[in-house]
Amino acid sequence: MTADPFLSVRGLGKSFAGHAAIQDVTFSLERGHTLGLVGPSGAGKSTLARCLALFETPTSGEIRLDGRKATRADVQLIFQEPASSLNPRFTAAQIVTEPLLIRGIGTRKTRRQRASELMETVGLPRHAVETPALEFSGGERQRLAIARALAVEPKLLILDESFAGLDLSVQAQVADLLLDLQERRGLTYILISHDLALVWRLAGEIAVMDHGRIVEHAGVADLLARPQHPLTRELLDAARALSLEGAPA
Amino acid sequence: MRYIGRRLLHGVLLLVGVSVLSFVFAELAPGDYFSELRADPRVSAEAVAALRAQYGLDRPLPVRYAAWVASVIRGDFGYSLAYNSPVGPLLWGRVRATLLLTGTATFLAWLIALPLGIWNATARGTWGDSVSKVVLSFLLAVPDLLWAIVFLMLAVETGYFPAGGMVSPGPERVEDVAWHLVLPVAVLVLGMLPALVRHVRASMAEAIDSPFALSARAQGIPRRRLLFRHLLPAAANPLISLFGFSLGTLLSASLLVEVVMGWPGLGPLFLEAIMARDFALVLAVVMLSASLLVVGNLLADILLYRMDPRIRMK
Amino acid sequence: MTRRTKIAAALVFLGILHGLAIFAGFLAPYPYAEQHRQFPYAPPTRIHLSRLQFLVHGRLFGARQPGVVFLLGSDAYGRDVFSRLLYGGRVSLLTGLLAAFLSLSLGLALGTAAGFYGGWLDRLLMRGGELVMALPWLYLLLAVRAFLPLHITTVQAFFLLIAIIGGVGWVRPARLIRGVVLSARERGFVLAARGFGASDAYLIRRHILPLTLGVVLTQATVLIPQYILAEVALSFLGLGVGEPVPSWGNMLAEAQQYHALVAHGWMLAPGLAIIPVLLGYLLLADTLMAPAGRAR
Repeated sequence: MTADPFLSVRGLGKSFAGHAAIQDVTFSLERGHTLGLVGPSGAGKSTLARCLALFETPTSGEIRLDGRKATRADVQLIFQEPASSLNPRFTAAQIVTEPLLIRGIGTRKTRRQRASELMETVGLPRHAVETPALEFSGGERQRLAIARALAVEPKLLILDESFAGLDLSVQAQVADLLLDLQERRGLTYILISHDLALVWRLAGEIAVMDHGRIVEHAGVADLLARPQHPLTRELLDAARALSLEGAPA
Repeated sequence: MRYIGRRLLHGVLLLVGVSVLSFVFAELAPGDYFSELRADPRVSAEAVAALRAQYGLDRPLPVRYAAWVASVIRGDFGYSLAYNSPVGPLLWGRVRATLLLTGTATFLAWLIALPLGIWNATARGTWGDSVSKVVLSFLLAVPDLLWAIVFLMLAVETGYFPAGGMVSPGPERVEDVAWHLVLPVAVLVLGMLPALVRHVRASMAEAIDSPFALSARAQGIPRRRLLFRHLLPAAANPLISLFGFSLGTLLSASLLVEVVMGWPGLGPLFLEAIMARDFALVLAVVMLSASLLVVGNLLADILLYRMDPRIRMK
Repeated sequence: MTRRTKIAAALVFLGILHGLAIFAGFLAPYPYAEQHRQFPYAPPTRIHLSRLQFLVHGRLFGARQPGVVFLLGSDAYGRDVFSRLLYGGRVSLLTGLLAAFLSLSLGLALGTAAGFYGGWLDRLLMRGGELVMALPWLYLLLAVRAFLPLHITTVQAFFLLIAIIGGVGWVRPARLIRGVVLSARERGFVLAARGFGASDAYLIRRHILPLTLGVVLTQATVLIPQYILAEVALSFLGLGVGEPVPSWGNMLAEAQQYHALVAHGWMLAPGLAIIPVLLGYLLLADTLMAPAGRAR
């Protein structure tokens, strides 16, 4: 129990043209847990996500995953728009196995098998493997995106506003899928969302970002009960004002 | 004003680029005006070399280019060996003829195309529109060359119109020129009309279907006012751009028509210069045609700038 | 008529026209240079089947000796206009097709490079393109032609024309393709693939090029007829394909004997033959470019 945490981020910073998008970001996360990342627009959440997913090279600090430096195979990012992050002309099989193809993993035959497996994992029918992506609904496409992310067997999954634009019931389904996967495979998630209800459902801990820094980081229950930072309080007030609390049953 | 200044500068730079490129091309070209002479066994190699030196054809490229630029600024456009005359005077008469031809044709084409296109746009879906579409499509498929030859043939046959040229012998009279203009202009107009009408129709249709036009009609604005005050200005933008784009095509069509019908414009001059390998003249015509295009586009830009407030916002 | 039907009809129509030209060697009763000096400007021959013979000398049909069959009359040298029309069509149509292939290939390569890599390459290509477009197209073609040797063999002329017409025509398709590539570059699935470690070549090949297909096809339908007309113009002016190989351009040049043209109307056949070809491409272009399924 004194071993390093699964994900350890220390002093992470990223600047663009002299302007610091994120700075001094330090936190850790245990395997199989979910961290919710919230904050106003422009707070640096997406930049942090991109740094964690190794799309950007941080200007300072380091990221350690499972005791060593993180590599692209370990971390996968699920984008905001399921429609645009998948090539509509590709078939489901082509989409979910594209990472394997790019990295030269496996043969055409093994990849095809893998495609069926992945589809099943995310709850999509196996026979839909040859269907072009544009024939899938929004929720199904997000599942495809998740399946694609799982293809390289990552340890950490970053979901950047991945639920925006999906129907509520679909959101619930995808959330259930993610929880199921987490339990079965011990996946670790970082969830970026404006939707506090979603964060409440999926996350065990929450980090609040503002102007590129983490201003508060606590367990979900603690944060909701005893918010420390004024920004956190603001966010919670706003969420409560907009929620169904107090609505007639 | 600054916008116009920038466009002007851009045009000038473009012309400079064209001139450099042309010079380099001419340099790479095998042979020159005196190549034919060299092939003649009666003329010695030294004589040809002397002629070359006399006309400065043996100096290095950057020197010749600099000299050319300097003389252009002075208004001297070089010397045509084929015509044995300075290039300048050769050009001006020809440019005037080409401008007269293309200007008249453009004016007439737009004069016909605008009402026709507007009518088509308002009468979409009726049989008149369908007939119009079929006729225009057919016209679009007829090459200018064919019109030119057929019209000349008719002119020769019937004698109603002069068979080519710009003037008949005798003092230059306006009606004489006008009479000679008819056929070449007719060819150019027939060539331009189909595409033009289509574009007018499309632009007007878009304006008519636009939300602001629908709301204007709902407010009960009378048709004529709607047309002239609201719809035409909206359709003007793409049409002015079209004018800019079509200039190149117009000049090219004009070249062909001038050659076929003997209209003394830039076209026939260009052709003769090429056949004679008179590169000074070729260069001059190249620069002139590029300049015409630049000026035409500049005018279109200025017009657009005046008419479309959105551009001024940039 | 549905969109599909129209496209199919246009393609079939064009296919037939091009096929007629390609198989000129079989369909034409006479070689293009064969003269019959005793029959200058002969009007079209009336067809009597008994005077014809079929499938002789590798040709579909011909005249039984000593007769002649000039389906579209003969020219000043007694050469069969119909045969020359077919052979000429082969030259003109093929030039248009090959030149279009050249300019589209160049446009695709340069436009993709400019759009994908941006930066100085993009600026260079766009500025270069502007220079090329600074002249009216016929002036440009003639200017380039001017700087090349005047007296060349017909074969050289054929390839030269293709090279010139295709070589200066890449600018517009390149610009359009560049636009497509620029926006495609930013699409989510491209970024995602990049995240998986995809190389530039992979991204271009698998994701971006397929998106340019639409533009390439519509450009083809617009450029091919333009290039056919360009060949006709150049050959007409004497700067393209010349004697004795016919092209619709140099055949039209022969038609310029105006005092007798009315009596020899068949000399206009090459000009008239262009019309259906252009109509076919026009129909194809219109159908392809009309937005599919627009509510009226």
